[in-house]
Amino acid sequence: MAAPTVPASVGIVTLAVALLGPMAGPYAVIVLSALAGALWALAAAPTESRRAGAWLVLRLVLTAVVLTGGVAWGLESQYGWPAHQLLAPVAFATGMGGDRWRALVDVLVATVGRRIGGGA
Amino acid sequence: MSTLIFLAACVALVYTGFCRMVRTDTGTVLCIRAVIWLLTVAALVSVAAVLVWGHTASWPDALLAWAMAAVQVATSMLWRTGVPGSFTHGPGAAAQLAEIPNVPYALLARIDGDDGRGSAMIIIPEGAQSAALWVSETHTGRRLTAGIQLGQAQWRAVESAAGQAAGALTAQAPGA
Repeated sequence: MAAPTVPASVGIVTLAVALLGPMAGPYAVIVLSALAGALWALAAAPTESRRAGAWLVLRLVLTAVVLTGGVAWGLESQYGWPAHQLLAPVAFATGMGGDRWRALVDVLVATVGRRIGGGA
Repeated sequence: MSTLIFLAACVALVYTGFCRMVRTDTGTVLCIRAVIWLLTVAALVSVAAVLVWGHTASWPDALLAWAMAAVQVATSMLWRTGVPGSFTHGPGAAAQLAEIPNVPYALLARIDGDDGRGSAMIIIPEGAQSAALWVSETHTGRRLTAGIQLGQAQWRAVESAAGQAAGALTAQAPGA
């Protein structure tokens, strides 16, 4: 009798569910969408080497993983749009933003700095 | 078995697409960037489909994916020195040779044309004793190592012309 075989996909899905629980699915959607967006940003960015390109993609995907959930649930509470449907577009847009996030963060830091400094 | 072959081809497509996207920038024609991105993302989704959703690929799937990967690998020779000239905006592969700081002469040349061919204009001030070249991409402003953007054959031609011009000037210089 042939031994029963388990497809590789079952093992990966089992591992992901064991690690992330019911959030495994949403995180898979976020990572895949962010990768697609980050690759678009990579195609437009002047990158010097493959290592720099990989670092850019990794940075954007991690940014999307951190920000997407909060942004999606914020939009849901504000406008009533279902968060689980917003995960993919928000993650894609986050990745696609590329290094423009740095400029946005700089503006935010400067604004907060001015507020703290009493508008001086 | 066909699923494994399909998976390997998709991984190859993702890698080759990534390598091309590292080389492209906003100076690359938009539709070229878009199709490279589309191919890479499609391959990425295919990898996820096999690994996450348990998609089983048929032989035609595997054959088509390998054919596309083979095209990517075969055409990679055109990308060895950067984005091919025909895929860039403006005068493709346009290169401008300008003066080098701290060197007491100027040498200017310009290569026009989508394939990098064209006329080169070399200006060497009177009294120049030698020639050297500096290349910068005109449409992105990025500085490149000499010879990379022009291709070795074209580069040697420009270098040779510059050497001859410098030699002629040296011969004409008073007291030479």
